[in-house]
Amino acid sequence: MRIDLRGLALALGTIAVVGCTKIGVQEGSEASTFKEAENCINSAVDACIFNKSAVSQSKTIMTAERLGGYQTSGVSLPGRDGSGFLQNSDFSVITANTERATATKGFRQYYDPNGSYLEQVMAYYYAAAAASWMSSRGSFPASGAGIKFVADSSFSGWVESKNEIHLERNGQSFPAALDASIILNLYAQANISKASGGASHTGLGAKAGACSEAGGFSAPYACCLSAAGCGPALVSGASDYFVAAFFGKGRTLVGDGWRNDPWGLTICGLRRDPALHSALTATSASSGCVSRGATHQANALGLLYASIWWEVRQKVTNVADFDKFFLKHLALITGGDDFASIKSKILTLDTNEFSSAYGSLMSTEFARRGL
Amino acid sequence: MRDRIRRFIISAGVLGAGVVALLPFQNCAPATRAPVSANASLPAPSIMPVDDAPTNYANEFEAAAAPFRAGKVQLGPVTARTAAVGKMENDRLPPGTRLIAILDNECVRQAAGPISARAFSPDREFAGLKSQSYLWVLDEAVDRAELDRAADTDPCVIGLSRDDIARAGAGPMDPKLGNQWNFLSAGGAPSYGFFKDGLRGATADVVVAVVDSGIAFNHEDLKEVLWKESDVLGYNFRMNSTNVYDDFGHGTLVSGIIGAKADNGIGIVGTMGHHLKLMTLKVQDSTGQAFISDITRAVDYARTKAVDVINISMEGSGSQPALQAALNSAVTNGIFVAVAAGNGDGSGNGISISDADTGSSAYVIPAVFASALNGMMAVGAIDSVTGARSRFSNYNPSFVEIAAPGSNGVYSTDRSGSYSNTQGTSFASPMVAGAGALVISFFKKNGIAYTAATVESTIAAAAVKKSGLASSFTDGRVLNLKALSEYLRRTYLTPVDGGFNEN
Repeated sequence: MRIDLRGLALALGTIAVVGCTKIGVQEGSEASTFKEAENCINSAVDACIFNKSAVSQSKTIMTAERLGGYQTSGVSLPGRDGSGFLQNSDFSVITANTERATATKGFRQYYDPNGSYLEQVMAYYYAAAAASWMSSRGSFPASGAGIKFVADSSFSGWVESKNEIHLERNGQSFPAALDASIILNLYAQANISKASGGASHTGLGAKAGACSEAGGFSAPYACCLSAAGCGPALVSGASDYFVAAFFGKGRTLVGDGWRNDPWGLTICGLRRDPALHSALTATSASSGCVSRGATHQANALGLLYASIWWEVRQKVTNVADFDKFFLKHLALITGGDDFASIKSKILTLDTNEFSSAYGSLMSTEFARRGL
Repeated sequence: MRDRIRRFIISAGVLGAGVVALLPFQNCAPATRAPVSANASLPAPSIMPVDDAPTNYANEFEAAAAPFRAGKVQLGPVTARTAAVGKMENDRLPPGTRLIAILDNECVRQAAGPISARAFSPDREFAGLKSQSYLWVLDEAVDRAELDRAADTDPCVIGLSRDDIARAGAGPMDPKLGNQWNFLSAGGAPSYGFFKDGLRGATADVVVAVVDSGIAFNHEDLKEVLWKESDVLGYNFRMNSTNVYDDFGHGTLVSGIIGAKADNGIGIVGTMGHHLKLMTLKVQDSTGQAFISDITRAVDYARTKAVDVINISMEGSGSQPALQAALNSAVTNGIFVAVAAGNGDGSGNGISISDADTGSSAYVIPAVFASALNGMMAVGAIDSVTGARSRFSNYNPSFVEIAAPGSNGVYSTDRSGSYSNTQGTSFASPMVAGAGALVISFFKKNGIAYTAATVESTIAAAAVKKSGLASSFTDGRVLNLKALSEYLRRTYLTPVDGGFNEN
């Protein structure tokens, strides 16, 4: 069953709100209006959540006690399958270690450090919003995929083999599911996998391998073999870019709410924000983690890829069509790709399906980065 | 107190051919813990008060594992996932940021520096502590790099890090956890959440057979983790009975390190404190002696009961093909085996062991069988605090395949029903046995096919490699449960992740 998108009429990259008292304007996003419920928890809404994250809203470090004050976005939770759980045929929100949220108990709950109701609601809402965003641009690869969001996991990541997105509850300052940028980043990874039929997550060893463990990079494919890039860098970068495109200008940072730091997540000092790296080159991205024994670190090179897409996005006139172009290209990513091969595929896609609207801009941007 | 090593070989002429008495490696009298000075490289996490800061075992581990060793800590969250914060120029910390400053109290009183003068709070000083932590809430925005530089120039600042917010379930809830320096220094606390994860963690049931002196089966922290079959807890091979009560004490200490129940609000936590049952196979008498034939029968019994792991914390000498064959059969049948490397020559000093059966004391069984058996590991001991090889621990990088904490803060269940400090390679081995149980449970939970050899290779690959120990243990391997959890996650669950933990 597909999600009923009608309930997300305002959800294109923003918050759909019910029972609102104040109207604001979202920075930079093409879907530019959202509303805020000052006394949300007592309003006639399905749930009260964060607009991206409490840290993103407040621009400050938070305490757990203050979180409730930022649950000011009242939302509906459309498309549920009637089971009483937060689930539909596209995805479901489950738990590993805490009580699963049910309609019986109600979804309009404050943050509870001993439970995960708010985390589950955040995961459901933003997954639905992302599905809506992608569908409106003609490509929702994970449609009907039945992906499970584990809202209270012990780790974070897209688990290809289990069709699960894990959102860590205790690893960083706040649970990962309280940060929409993490939810969307991982959902992007899942959609890349679905779009490519799993190719994005196979054959990784062709262009990637392990970094030095001493630097703290223990993933088996945490480093590309050269500055030419690798599949993991493309997946990482496309996911970072997805978050930026979804939220729009001024809200492109990844992980500030999870880390409880307005600075957000970083990789070897590089902030996980595609909008900040227009000067990044293949050489500089490759050397960013050298001091930690990780030359060509995949996430750093991923930031390069994300910023290439982001810079071109600032130059195009039809942003929605460019988003469609981006989403279409996800199907082309394979684990064995590098920057050159994906660029070639992008140009072919542009020629074949987008009337060469973006090829020149993309080529120029790749070249400007030394690629 | 120096551990008392006893090791004797009884000739075939005394006990008959093929019968060798084995002794456990430990002195069961409570061992004293070496005092830790304020300048020690690894401060005891349990005695480090944090003003107003909520308890967070993950943070405590990080504090214990790395930051306060040499030089100053770069500012950054003290979460378990975070290493260095990297260069972050122009990053400003807003007012209200909670910091934890570890200060040298004596130094502050004499000549406070720019950071320590502001972070120090005399009314929160703990009398008698040379150094301690202080909560410091910024009242104005501060440049992060400047703060780091100021900390570097402040002679009284031992460490500076961001405070964090603790949440329920972050680590095991066992009140004596702070005494378990062995568990804490091996990364037990920060890995706990992953291993206990109900969906993808080590949460399939496993059975560990403890071939030892029995168990105090009424112990509050063990009684709920006992393997049972028709109310029988195992077997007493010494007496050919089903009474496995521990009349010596060694087995109860070993059992607690493997599997003392976690999160029960009492006592300690085992290396695998959940989803584990302990099968008690008593082979020792009340003086700690055992016959090879009984050990061999116990291994065979464990195999017929299809246990997942066997731990043998005993040593002996002389060629013992029957025992070697039994162990080989167990491993072939998918049972991971951990054995102690032995505690030296009786003088308190470890010896280099060898599989050359020349009649010398270097031929320590069953430890020397391990190198040829993929699926069985011989375990040496390190000091929980310093990380150095325990003086008594046997060694040889060709035969002692990994090390685990075996001295200085090794704390476990005892036969009196209480808890004691102890030391010996006998207590390093059960940590590796517990790690084997975690790995097998993880594999089962996630539908991953495995053999005993796979379990050994996983533990070996995930071990921390310390060059300073490479002349003692294979590749300088040291068991670290946090590294093991990371290895399992990255290898089997998220080989391509978002790099979220790589700040």
